[in-house]
Amino acid sequence: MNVWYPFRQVFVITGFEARRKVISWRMLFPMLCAAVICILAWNTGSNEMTRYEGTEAALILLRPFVASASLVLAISATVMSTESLSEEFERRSGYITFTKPLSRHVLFAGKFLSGFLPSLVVLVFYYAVTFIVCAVLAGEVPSRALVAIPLAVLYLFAVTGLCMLFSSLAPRGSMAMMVSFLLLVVLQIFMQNVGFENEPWYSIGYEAGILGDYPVGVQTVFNMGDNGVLYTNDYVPDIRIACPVMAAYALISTVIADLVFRYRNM
Amino acid sequence: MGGTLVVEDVVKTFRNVTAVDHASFTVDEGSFTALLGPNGSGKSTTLKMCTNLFQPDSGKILVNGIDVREDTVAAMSGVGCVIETPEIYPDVTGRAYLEYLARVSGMSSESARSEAERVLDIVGMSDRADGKVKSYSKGMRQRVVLAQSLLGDPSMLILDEPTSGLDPQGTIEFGRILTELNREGKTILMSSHMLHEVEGLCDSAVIINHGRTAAQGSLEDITRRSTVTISVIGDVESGVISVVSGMSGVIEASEVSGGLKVRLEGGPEKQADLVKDLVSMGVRVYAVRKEDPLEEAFMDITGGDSE
Repeated sequence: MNVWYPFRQVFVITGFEARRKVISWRMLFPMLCAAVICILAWNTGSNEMTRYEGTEAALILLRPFVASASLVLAISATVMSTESLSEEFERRSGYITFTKPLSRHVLFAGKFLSGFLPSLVVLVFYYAVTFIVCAVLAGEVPSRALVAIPLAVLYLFAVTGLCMLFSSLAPRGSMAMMVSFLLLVVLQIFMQNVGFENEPWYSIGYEAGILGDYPVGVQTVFNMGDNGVLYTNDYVPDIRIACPVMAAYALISTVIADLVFRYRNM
Repeated sequence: MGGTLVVEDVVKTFRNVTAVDHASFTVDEGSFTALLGPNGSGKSTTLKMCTNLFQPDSGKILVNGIDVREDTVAAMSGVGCVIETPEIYPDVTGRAYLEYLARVSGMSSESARSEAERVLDIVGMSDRADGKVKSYSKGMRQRVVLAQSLLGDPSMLILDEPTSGLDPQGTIEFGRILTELNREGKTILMSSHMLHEVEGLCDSAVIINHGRTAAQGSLEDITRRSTVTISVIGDVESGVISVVSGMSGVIEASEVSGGLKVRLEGGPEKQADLVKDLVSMGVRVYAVRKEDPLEEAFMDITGGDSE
């Protein structure tokens, strides 16, 4: 066995599992969500932009699109990844898979990619629609907005890692999906609308706000108080903190998920 | 050429329960070995450790001389497994699933295709393999499960109750396939509750009780004791029972309705000698019925224990 053998195995697993997900119509739900959110964002953005011109109008149009990207990606990761590992135990297919000449690390890598790559397709679709709409309605796509893509990929890594972690721990895929949906989607919506003052800076939901703020130039605005002290009414994630936090979530959750999967017994 | 399996002083504990307690046995190359034991004796746990599904707490398992824990990929390369009643992904065809497993085991796309066709042919599923697994009957799924164990022409098969849930015809067919594979030189280790099935297929056995190896060897060695019921015409005279009890190799003799029941060390030859001696004493023997020797040996060794 040469050094490329495990990579070949990862490629085979990724292809097979990703094809299973596409055949089972699993991709349809996140794509539909992405399309619906695009329509709603277009409606909001196109009304708001009428009061502005030039680059500012483009940024105003983009704002609802990029602000909703984290929701689309969280939904996609939940649908694509939460059952990947738990199904081997729940469905007992692991009694075959784990007895093959195949290390669990390689199997984990293949299943991770089989969830990540279809979600990446959803990401590309979402941002392609976003930038096409912006180019058509506003006449330009601000270069700053293109930073949204690598930020979104980093966030997608993080939420996919979290979904894989839930999948490695949960006895059933439905439980993993429910936990992922609650923590990554429902809680995010709740925090953005009601609990934003209580959201800690190190939470993935808070730092995911960078996807919606940085590409359109939103920053924390400080005001000078009467006592000479700077204050702000609204902290916006800082890219210098958001990126390391999202990377930490991606790395730590993925490593723990891999270890749990490695040592979990049938 | 067949594979070998060595289980050396293996221990496995779940919370406070010791499922396998220093079990040791060997499966020789080319043998068809039954792994027997009462419910909860540690058979399934032992097989799962042999097939990388569980990690032993201590001890060593060598498949074809390779430690399963140290080099899992190499150890499992020569082994085909059917453990418990696994499910196959329902949304794929049987053929696609087998091709996937073949490719993941290192074959090229073309080799995987022909290998899948070969094993489907062995289990008699070539015509039905292009339907989705969710449309298969239980017997069809079990055939695909057996087929996947044959991918790559492994030197050893490890099977945990492979005929569980099959109808009698399916069980016979399964047995025929396994016998043929063993005849080709494959080593087979099979756990089963059906002792009569084991007797017809296997040439050696390992008996596990309370997580320990209670007996191992050829079936002939393990079933060296047998019980026969001898039907006679007329009554058995009281002196006959005491004479039979004192014969060499006789463990116990008792009168039963219509004859006598004798437990003795030894197989058919000893039984034939006993009948000859009875006839020479004037006893009119008209029928001899043998109890299931493996079942007897099993009950003897395990003391009739169960979970």
